[in-house]
Amino acid sequence: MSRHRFGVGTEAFLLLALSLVAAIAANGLRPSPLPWWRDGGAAAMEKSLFLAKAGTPSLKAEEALQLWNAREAVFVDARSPAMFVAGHIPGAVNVTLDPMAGEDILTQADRLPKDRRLVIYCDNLACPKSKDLAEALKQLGFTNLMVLLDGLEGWQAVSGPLDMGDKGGRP
Amino acid sequence: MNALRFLARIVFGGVFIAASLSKIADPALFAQYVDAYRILPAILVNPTALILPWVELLCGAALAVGVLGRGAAMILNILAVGFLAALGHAWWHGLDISCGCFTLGEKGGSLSLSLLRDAGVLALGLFVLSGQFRRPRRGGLLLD
Repeated sequence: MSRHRFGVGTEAFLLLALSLVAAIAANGLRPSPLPWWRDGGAAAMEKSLFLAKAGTPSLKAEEALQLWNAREAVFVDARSPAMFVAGHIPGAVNVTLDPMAGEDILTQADRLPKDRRLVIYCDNLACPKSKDLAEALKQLGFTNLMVLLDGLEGWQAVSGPLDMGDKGGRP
Repeated sequence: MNALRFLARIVFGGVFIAASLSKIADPALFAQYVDAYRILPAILVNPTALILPWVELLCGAALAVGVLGRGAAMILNILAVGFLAALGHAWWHGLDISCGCFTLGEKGGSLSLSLLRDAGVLALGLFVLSGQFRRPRRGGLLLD
């Protein structure tokens, strides 16, 4: 005699169906439901939500490119030194919380001007390093900080130039 | 051995329950993590972010309490393989992302450590799965 009422496939199907119902119900009851399908507006809303959580002013890649062209900001690459060498925004300074960097954050931050606007970036929208570094620099007394929303991915999407190698720094 | 399998079932189910909670609380943020892996086409990102955490929660709970356990063990093992593959893909391509496995908004974190952890979870899952499909011994203690 079998101790199982249903076959494995039926069990799995029941669980998936229940999950779908729960997901639809829970999202429907949410004060601001996440749209099931992305459109431009929804994506923009998600981005602003993500930034609000980061707690740091942000800018889009087009705005960053304007600042870069006008030399109105110092760009700070928050990724690892290896990633920096592989490609970075020309003139950017590599400042990283990566323990492999060899220098602590205090030493690295000394290379940054406090009187200029700093634009911090990492890989893309979801990478945490730019937001983490912004927090750390804030603690060290830097006030004019912005995070490049889409990171290097957004920068490349607006055809921003890239440099390779370990030469950076254009403060 | 039965007690060990029982414990493994609770722990394996519990891992997925724990992993689901912060994703259910903030699907928009979880969608950003899903997107960052650059595996799914844009159209599937939000449905995945909305449904996946519920699959984790319900299957984790089903396995822990021993209802529909075989289906739940099957689904969670498939998920564990999928997560491992996604992490491996991100690691291989050098993506600079957070795992997004347990706590959303976690600081940095190392992909290779996440890979190791997920491999451990999968090993546990396969042990649980084998237990779910084992015939009980005649007169044996039926704990699952």
